[in-house]
Amino acid sequence: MADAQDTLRSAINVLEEEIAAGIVAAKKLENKVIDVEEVRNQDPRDLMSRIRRDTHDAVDILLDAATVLFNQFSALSENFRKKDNGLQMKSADQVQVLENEGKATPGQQVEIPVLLTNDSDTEEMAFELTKTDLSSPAGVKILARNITLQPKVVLLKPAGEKEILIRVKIPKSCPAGRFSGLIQDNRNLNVRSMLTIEVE
Amino acid sequence: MPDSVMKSMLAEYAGYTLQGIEQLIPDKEPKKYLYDLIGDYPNRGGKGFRPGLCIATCRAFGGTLSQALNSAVALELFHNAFLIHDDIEDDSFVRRNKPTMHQYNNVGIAVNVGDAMNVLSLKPLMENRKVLGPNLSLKVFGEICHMVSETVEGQAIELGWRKDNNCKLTEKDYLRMILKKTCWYTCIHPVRIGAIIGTNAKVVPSKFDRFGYFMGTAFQIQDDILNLIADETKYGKEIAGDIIEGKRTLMLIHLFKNCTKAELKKLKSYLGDTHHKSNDGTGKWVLRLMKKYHSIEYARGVSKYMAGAALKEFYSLFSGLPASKDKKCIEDLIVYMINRDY
Repeated sequence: MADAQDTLRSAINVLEEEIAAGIVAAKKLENKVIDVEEVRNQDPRDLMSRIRRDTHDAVDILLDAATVLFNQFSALSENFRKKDNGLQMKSADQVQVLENEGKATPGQQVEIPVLLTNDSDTEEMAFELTKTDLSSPAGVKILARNITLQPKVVLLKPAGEKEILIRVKIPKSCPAGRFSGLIQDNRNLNVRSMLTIEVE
Repeated sequence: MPDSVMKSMLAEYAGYTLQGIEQLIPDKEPKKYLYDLIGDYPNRGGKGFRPGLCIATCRAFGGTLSQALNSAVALELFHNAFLIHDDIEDDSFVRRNKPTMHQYNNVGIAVNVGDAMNVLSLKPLMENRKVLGPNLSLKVFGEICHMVSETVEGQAIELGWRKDNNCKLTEKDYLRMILKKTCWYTCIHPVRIGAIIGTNAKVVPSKFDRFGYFMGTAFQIQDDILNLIADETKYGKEIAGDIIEGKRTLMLIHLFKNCTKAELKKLKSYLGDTHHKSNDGTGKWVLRLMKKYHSIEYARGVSKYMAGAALKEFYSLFSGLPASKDKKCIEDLIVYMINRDY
């Protein structure tokens, strides 16, 4: 019995060690693999054309998997949602999108209030929000320095909510187009949503 | 719940899973050396343990069979692909009372069929999008990714021990290897996936890790014991095949620690000789040594204790759920794991 108890204790230690090692390895890998800006700026046709089409079903499956992953890189989180004040929230497929109502004009400052929520019923969550450049399909950018998040750092109690104000200053020289980028949490890369601004 | 009810539930879930696998097999060439072989191992009458655990957990947490089925099919495909490759790695002759695939074909064909089954298992995971939606599907996919990487790492560890003829292993080494090689894919991830689906991802999956680990360890140790003492027809594999392969079981590691220096030297020499035959008397000598030092009783004691620990975890994780046949099935599975004779 004593031997078996020792074995159980060893097993518990092994499990904790392996889980910790797995988390460290996953974070290292994620930092190497997920470069959101690089993926976002790629032409999706280039990515797909790197995978040769084949009549073999297995390759088609892999191609589908790559397409899904590519389309979903920017929005996995339900933590962001539009504040219910009459602003429209559009969704593309199942992607969470934060968008301004109507079209913005060059030189205008756009404000989009959003609600950040903590999905956990038991644990506090700390958020450190960052933003990326917004890019149009034509490759024009609204740089991230034109975007402010207020507040940037949030601590939410279990099931808590906080209003975040996203302000985007549209440069005076900005051409018309649809500009998209990410708002995400530095501490948890799964918490992210796409921000889209339409400029006329 | 009588054993027969739990077994018939597992058989029912295994039946649905097998149908799911068969629907995935493309009806095109090449058939003789690929698509006609994919159904071979799944149709050999396995216990359907992994898909059964996944489905039962899902239903116990309020989900449905149709929600869990794609994931169960993927789990079973991965499992059978692992078996084909495992049989090659171990140079086994028999699997579920029939010749192993590389024996009745060749190694190349068997490797390729295993690869195809791994690839095919992506399809039901993709189909999950229609049933579970994209977020839940991606969570399941993440579970599978972790599962396969841990399994191949665990296998690499164990194969490395054999290649290096490592006879200085400890119990902790075994526990780490078995966690990675067996427990994640046999118990932990099937339960986690079932719970994620059944609760629509409201559950914290890591709370099932200990439960699955203890259950999987109990299962594997008992499997290793059966390899030495079971009825070969019921067990379906060569008895004492693990000794011949030099597999590092808990019994063997216990033997390393407890035998004399002279015995250890002879043991090491035997294990280092990869060309010895199955009817070589030395294999029987190793088995006698295990009996002499009570290595099998020791392992059986550990297996029962781990099963007890698994039961304790089960009660704390599942007691808040409403009573159901699926919940009872999981409880009975734990007990069955260590009482089984095949």
